[in-house]
Amino acid sequence: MARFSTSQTAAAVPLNGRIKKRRTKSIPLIQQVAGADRFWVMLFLLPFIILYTSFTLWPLLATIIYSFFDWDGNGPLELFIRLENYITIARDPLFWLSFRNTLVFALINTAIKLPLSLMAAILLTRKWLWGQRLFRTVYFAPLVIPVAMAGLIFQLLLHPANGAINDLLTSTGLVQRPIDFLGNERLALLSLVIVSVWQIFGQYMIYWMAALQNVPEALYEAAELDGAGEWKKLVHITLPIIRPVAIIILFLAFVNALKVFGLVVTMTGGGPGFQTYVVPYFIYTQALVDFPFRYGYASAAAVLFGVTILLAVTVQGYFVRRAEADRKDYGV
Amino acid sequence: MIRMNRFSRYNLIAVTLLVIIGFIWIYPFLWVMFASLKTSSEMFSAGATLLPENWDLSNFVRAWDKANFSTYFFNTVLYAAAATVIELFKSSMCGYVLGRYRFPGRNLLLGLVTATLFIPIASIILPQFKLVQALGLLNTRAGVILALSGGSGALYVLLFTGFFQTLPDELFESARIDGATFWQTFRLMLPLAKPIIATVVIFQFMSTWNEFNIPLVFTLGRPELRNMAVGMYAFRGEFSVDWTGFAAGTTISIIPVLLVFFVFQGYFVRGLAGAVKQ
Amino acid sequence: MKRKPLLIVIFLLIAAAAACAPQTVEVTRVVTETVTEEIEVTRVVTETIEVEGEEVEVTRVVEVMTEEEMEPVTLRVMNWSQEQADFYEQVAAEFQNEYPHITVEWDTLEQGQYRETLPLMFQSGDSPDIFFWLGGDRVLTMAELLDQNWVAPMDNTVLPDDFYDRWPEGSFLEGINVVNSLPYSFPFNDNFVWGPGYMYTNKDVFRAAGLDPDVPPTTWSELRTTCETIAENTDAFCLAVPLGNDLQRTWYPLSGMNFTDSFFDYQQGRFNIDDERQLETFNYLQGFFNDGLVVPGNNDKDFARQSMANGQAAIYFGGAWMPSVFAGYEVPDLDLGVFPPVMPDDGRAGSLRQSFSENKFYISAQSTHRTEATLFLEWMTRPDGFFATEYLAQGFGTLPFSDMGQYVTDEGLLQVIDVANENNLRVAYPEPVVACADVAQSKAVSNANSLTRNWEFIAMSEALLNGEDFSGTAAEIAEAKNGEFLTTLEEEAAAGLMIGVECFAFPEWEDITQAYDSALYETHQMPASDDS
Repeated sequence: MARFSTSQTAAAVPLNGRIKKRRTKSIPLIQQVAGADRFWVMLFLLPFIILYTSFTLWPLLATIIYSFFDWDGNGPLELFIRLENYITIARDPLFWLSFRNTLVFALINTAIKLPLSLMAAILLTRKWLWGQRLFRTVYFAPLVIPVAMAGLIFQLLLHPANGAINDLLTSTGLVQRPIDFLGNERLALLSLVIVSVWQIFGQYMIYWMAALQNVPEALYEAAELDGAGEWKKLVHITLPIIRPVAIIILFLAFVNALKVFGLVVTMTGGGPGFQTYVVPYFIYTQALVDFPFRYGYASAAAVLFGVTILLAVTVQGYFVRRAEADRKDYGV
Repeated sequence: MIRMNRFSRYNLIAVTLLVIIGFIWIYPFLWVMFASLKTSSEMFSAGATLLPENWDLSNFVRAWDKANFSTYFFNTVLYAAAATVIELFKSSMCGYVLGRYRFPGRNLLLGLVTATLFIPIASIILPQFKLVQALGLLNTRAGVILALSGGSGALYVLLFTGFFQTLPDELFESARIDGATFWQTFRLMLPLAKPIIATVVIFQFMSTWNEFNIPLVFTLGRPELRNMAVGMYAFRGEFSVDWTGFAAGTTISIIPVLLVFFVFQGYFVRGLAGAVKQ
Repeated sequence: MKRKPLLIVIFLLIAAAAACAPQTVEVTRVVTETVTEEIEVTRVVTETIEVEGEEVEVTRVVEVMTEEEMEPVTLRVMNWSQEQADFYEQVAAEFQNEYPHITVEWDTLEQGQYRETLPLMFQSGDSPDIFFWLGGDRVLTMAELLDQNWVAPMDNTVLPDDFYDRWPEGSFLEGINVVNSLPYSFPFNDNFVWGPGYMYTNKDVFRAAGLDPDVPPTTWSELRTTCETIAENTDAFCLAVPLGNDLQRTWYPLSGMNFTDSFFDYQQGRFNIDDERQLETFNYLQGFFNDGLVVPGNNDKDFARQSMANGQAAIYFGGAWMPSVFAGYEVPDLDLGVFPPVMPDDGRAGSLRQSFSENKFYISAQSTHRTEATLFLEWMTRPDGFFATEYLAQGFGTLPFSDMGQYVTDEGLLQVIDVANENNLRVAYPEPVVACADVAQSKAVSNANSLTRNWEFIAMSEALLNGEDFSGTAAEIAEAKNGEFLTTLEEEAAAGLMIGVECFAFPEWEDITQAYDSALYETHQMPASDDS
């Protein structure tokens, strides 16, 4: 049985939500529901649909509703103010700064974590590698540390007065004066990016490992017979084959990075100044920290941000379709 | 012979590299573990030093008592296990149907699920709270479990959808010829999805284990129903934070998660990277 | 003020409690009630009491309460002082000794979680009977809480006559903790000692620098010289300054002695971060940053305090609660000095604002046990009761309803009290809401502050860390906030509120180092009536 799971694309493909469009000519993968199966299909869908509607769709809808009210999150929704929250948001410089910071964060974060985790995934799936299990666990480990603890650790490690990293930099003579990673307005966001890469790395490593299954081992063997080295195998076999899946992982990585929150709270609190304010943190402070709460306003910020991202994703959808076309060409 | 040598050479380079980077990688991790053995002033002043001057186990005692871990441990295990099982159950079933059958509304559902994956949902806790309240499940374990397993899952559904879609059709054909019912076929196919199951188990278990918002908010009237992640916040006082107690609490609470990873890593090895071995 | 301990043992007669005069001690009290088929609850109490110096043994039959009244009640109390959780358990037990039918469950949550979840608890109708709340603007808190329908008044039928006498005069103000003569809350921490503004020193660092640890710097220049000496002679930094919103801890004592610790100028009625005195204070502080005299880094308060406690810095400015915080840091040999803040060289030119209303505990409007909750608060605020004596003895803070001199034993807190008493750091500022009642409904200040929360502190922190000039940003902040403030005022006046900038400007308050005398309110110019 295991034969099938290993010979197929397994976990890699599912990262793609638009898979339904793809139909292989020879075997119709999807069958039309008929007869008694109707009942089963309904039954199988029900648990997910119920929970999904109640805990994902409804909150989303509620957020949109709240965004039209002047509401502190408490008591009845009474003060309908139409688009006023949106108008205020559009003129709120802190929101736009947060917006910009979020995008910068997500872009750099994605640009760093994906190649690195891909390299790790490739290395850690080489059959010749010693100690695979151990290394995988090691690189996965940061993912399990609660974010409040991770924030504290890095506050201490990055500290300019006695932090380990500055100790190392100054004692090796790399820098003259300690660097204030979290206090410097140009470095703070970047420091957050690095720490978040460290934290989330394991997750993308696993995604990449899934993607790498698309590469039939036979191709490698053939290449080896031709005397290709590891680098050539990477460039000419691995990368082209995983490209379609890579695009989907890229989306996921970028969108998840846009949700950055916990590390900001624990490491910088948005500072220095407002240099590390990101949209989720902005929403959080508006809705729940600064009294009186502005829940309606925060909801408007969330909706505005969400819609913008969705638009971006729709544009990206074009690339998804191209990726699928590519994949078909490779026949995997 | 030549092959062996070449791979040994690779290993020398790769393993050296992996060990060095790996040490940097888990250094913060080790730092927490050792911080839980230090006094608070030593923790703040020791900088990079890992080993404590005096080994002090009192943090663990304090962590266990103060954060109510003895009460919360059971809840944590229950919430994480139940939410993971429910998640597995609902996303595999849904993914199975989406991957194998065509029915009205299928595209809409897939589109929605995909879309919500990309929309950042900010502060959804309030609507969720109202819902659980309306169901009369506030201050019950059931409410917590429901909310924990209800909020996630879009990605998992897509994982299963993709997996079942790529299973060879002959499998289903032979099941049909053998007269297997819908349910029996599903029972046959599900075990093939081990790598997906492992992924879901690890990510879902890990996130529910560390989740503190839902277990806190839905059990406000009954503090004894909270989990360890909520308990950890007992170290943050009005005027000061007990960081060493927090470090000890972290150490206690992440060890089970790592254990789960170790156990299920077997599936990863076979499922995710297994192709390379064949 | 003092109550005989025996009163504590007497089971409370709900109806009669209010009549319990503190001086006349009723030795026996037998109350007969018409007992129908109800279950009769009687107790025979034998106790030794003191009557005019003699001990007398009395046996009384106490018919306590009707069955309905005796029904066990559970009170939920919540706050965010998690470090005091053990103390609260003792408090609940002690209280139950006296009121066996009332069980108190005192739950604590982390502050962030608390603020997030309390509104949810109210939404679900499952709020604690007694909750802790500190609003953004302490004067407007009461109005906000009423507005949200969160609070109920205390049941004053069970309050003793002398209840209000437990506090210094002027502690209960209509609109601040009293509404329609009904008390809703009470000052919890005193408003004279309690608050920011103290200079804490690590005496060992002073010694290491060759300085006399008992002769602290008293002026701005002295602090500067002290810091330079410390930098020259030791590895330590001089100041530990927390940043972001936590910067207030350092800012208040410096600006408070130079001008005001408020970003609002109550003499002129405007936001004042661009005032030259504020900029002077800022530039003074920035000098320490630029010359490397401050522990580097974007530190929060926890880091700043730790670095001072551990000898990486000599001086930390903080609030009256710091002694218990330092005690929790497990630095057993920390030799802590507590001193008044440093003054500008040409003398003190400002004052810290006496926060009138450290009202912190409220009874939930949803509570079905308002009477029991009031009983608990009454018990809790007894000047010589268990709560007050233990709270003070454990050094958690100061209380306005007890004799601190008698019960505080913590060395550091005693010093804090001394410093406060000798220096008169805090004075009463004018309260706009007292001048104009409609201020309670105004959103002018809150709108201006909502433009960007904690704007001043965050912007100052950024400038401090990066050595930037602040005057431009200051002007920008003041302009934006004053603009919003005035616009809102105009809109509100147009909507019929009796309000204007006059409600917030008190030019008759000439000397900011002296309290705004309550008599001055009578000379205050009120906004012109718009009724026509």
